[in-house]
Amino acid sequence: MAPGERASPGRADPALAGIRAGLLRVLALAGGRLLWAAASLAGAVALIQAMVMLAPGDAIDLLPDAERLRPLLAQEWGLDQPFAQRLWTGVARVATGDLGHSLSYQPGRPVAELLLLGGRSSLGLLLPAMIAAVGGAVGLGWAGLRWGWVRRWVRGLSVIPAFLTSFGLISGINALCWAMMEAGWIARPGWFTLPDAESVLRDALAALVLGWASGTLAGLHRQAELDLQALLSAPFVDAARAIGAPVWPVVARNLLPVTAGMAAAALPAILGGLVVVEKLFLRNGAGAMLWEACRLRDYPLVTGLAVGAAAVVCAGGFGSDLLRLWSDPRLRTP
Amino acid sequence: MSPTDLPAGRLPGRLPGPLPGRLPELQPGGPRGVRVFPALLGGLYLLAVLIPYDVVGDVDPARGGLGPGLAHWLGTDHLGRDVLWRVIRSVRSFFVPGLLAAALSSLLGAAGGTLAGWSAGGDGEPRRGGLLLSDLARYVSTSISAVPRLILALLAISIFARADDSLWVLAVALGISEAPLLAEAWQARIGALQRQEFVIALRAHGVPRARILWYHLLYVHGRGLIARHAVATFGQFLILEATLSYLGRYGIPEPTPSWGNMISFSLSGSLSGYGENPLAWMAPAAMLAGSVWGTYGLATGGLATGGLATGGLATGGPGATALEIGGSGDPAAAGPAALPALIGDGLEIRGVRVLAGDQARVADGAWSVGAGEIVALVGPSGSGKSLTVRACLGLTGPGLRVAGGEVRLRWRGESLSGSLAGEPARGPGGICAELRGRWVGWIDQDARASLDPLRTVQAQVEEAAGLAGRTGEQAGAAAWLRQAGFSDPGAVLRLWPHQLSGGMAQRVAIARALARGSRFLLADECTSGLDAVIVEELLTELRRLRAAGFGVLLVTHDLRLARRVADRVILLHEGRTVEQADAPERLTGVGRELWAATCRVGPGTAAPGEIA
Repeated sequence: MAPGERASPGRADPALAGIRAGLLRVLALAGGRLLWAAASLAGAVALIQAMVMLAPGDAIDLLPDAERLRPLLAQEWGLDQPFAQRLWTGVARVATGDLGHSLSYQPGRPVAELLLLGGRSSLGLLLPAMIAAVGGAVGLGWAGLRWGWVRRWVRGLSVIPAFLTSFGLISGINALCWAMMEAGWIARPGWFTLPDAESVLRDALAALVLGWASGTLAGLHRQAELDLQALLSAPFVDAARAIGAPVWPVVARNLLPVTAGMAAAALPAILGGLVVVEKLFLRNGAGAMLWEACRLRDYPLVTGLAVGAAAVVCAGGFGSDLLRLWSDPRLRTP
Repeated sequence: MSPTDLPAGRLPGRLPGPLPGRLPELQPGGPRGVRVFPALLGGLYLLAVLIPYDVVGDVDPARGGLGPGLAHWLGTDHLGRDVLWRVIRSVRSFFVPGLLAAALSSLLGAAGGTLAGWSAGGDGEPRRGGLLLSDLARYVSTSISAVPRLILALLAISIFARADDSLWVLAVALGISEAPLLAEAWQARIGALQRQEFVIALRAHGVPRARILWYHLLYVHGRGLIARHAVATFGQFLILEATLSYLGRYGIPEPTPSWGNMISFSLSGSLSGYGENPLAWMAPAAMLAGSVWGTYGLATGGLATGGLATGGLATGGPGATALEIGGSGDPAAAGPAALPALIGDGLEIRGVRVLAGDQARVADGAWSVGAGEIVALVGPSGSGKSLTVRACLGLTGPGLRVAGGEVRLRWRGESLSGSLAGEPARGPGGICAELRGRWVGWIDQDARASLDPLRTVQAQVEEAAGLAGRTGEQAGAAAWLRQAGFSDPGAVLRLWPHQLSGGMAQRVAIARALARGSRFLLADECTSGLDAVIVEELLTELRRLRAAGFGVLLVTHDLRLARRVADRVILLHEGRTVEQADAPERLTGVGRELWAATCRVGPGTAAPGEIA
């Protein structure tokens, strides 16, 4: 506005109007994504509930203590109602946070409580594994662009399944310790043999195996390499080089939204891998709990854990979308 | 499609998932070793089916833990069972269920993707209710993908499996849970294909829609993607089956062999001190790792070769020509006689050689620009103009190597010289690092793309000023934007690059170079894609910079543009600088032909008298 010029009282300041429009656009986009995430979760819950309801015969027949539980569950599960009504009731109950009670894992205990308990234990494994997967993929992607042999080895080795890697690691460490004990070099270590004891080493190995060997690293690494290659040859990176500016802040800034997407994409595989890795490394957590619940056919707990996993995946996707909205102005400005 | 082209409420889809088979754009095939994998596995399956093997009766503890020998090629486990036969027999356990999972997933995914992609009507004619159907398919796909596949598989097995049919339930569960990956990829592909000219041409020729869909799109363009997805699903099944068998529940129970339960059984035997033959777990482990490697290799187009090693490196841009290595090795002697050395202040490059592998993309490039001068570096597309200029800043791109070249710069008593050979790998100590920014500014042909999309105009110009060590008012972006021709810089400061027009972006790039303190500007096809009015404004700006004492090198294939603005024209042809003149019409030889061709086409053809 030129000096002396005064804004007319009836007209909004264009700058303020721009900010308001931008804010509204961000809110609309974020709201849309939130709705989509919530709807996806509802769909996943409906799928899980439908699977239980479609069990051949009577779902209660599958339980170990079927006759005792029948009167109680028939009413709770609404077995006398039509399929669509049961499905709707089931989804609505989950939406209100009612996941039912454990039948055989810890009889009578609320599933939501067990879910929180298992989730808290698994978080200590899940977060380092996510960091190992995404950080490893980006780091190795960068190394792969510099040195071809890194690319070949990473792709070759990272497709080896989690249990094979766990076994290789555990057997290798055990064999090494055996050999050293036989030679009289060391006394029996406190944590020997893995995974019988609590140890930081075991946890670190578990996180690495979960992050790298659940089939995650291979795909993420390839994706990271392609993204990095595209970024490093982008005109704006060349332009930064041309003015003598450091390139890595430009690359890092532009890699952030991509990395958020990668993390969200890695979540389902890593959550699934939890079941295997927690079982192999004898850790308590949601994954091991799911395995036991399946073994005991504790359906409320199984469905509760599956719903919990779906909720984490949907929340991860939503979080990634928010991060991209925040970091990428092309998405939030016209 | 740019992110802003997306419908409201939709961000670009998240990255494809991390597992094999989610990278549909990769080349099919892969190394020959990987291609024989299906035949190998199929052969093992036939052996397992045709040759009888008693999985229960093959127990003899007396021969337990034997090493490899003539009777038992891979030895025996601690129960005396033949390891080789059990490894082979394992293939029979998973092969057919694995194929079922692959077929089901491919069928459902292809059908869902086709339905969603075709009904959305990417050719601009949405079918009735098509968008709703497309969104519904996307919704179902997202909902299924939200449940991790192993958890979905366990849930399905615990509910539906009875006695010994868990593998079939696993196959169906995996087939359903993997299908959305293919559906999403194929939906996007079919949507893009429908917009392509060949589909429009087919329709114009009266080819029925059904035939276009099933033959031209699904069969011709989709089969590779679908086949790779099927292979990836088979690999996933292999991993899941082995995992469940290894963990001892829901998979294949002993004594029926599976690679997973063989590993588990033999390793527990080793740890229990049974004196187990190590091959009893190593052989199935190797088979499993090899099979997963093979499926992954087939699904992604090769592990070892990976198109990245060469992709985009040696191919160059459209029309690029690879030249035989030639020219003198002495950069000083390499410059053509037609290009006399500069006398006053200026920047001079001679004897530039750029190699892609052992082929020369630029054999002998040279140019010079004096202070207060506009020089046009001209030549047909693919002649190496951009590379010759980029070489002096070390911006030749991956896979290209600057094998020779000499730089000389003089500016008000200061001078700088050095060799370009080995750039840009020489890093901060090289001549390119010396030139970048401080002496030479770069204006890309796509100026908007040359601005960091995640930073405002203000931040980018101020960064350049900061790099030049400017403080106070000089560090502000507004002054530099005004110098670059913006009458109201305040209106531009807060804009993001995607909000700028092409002409505005060019001026921001100029402002950034000015703020950085560059004395010479290298503008690579900076008028391409701009309308006539913007081009005129840009040329005015370049003339103003010339008047202010800046040296401007304008890289262009447009001789008429060069004629309008340049003081001197240098012609590059097939990777060599061949001549220079003070105007395009005074060029001889190839240059004369080019000028004549320029005058024959398009509006504003020069009068015959203009061609000397």
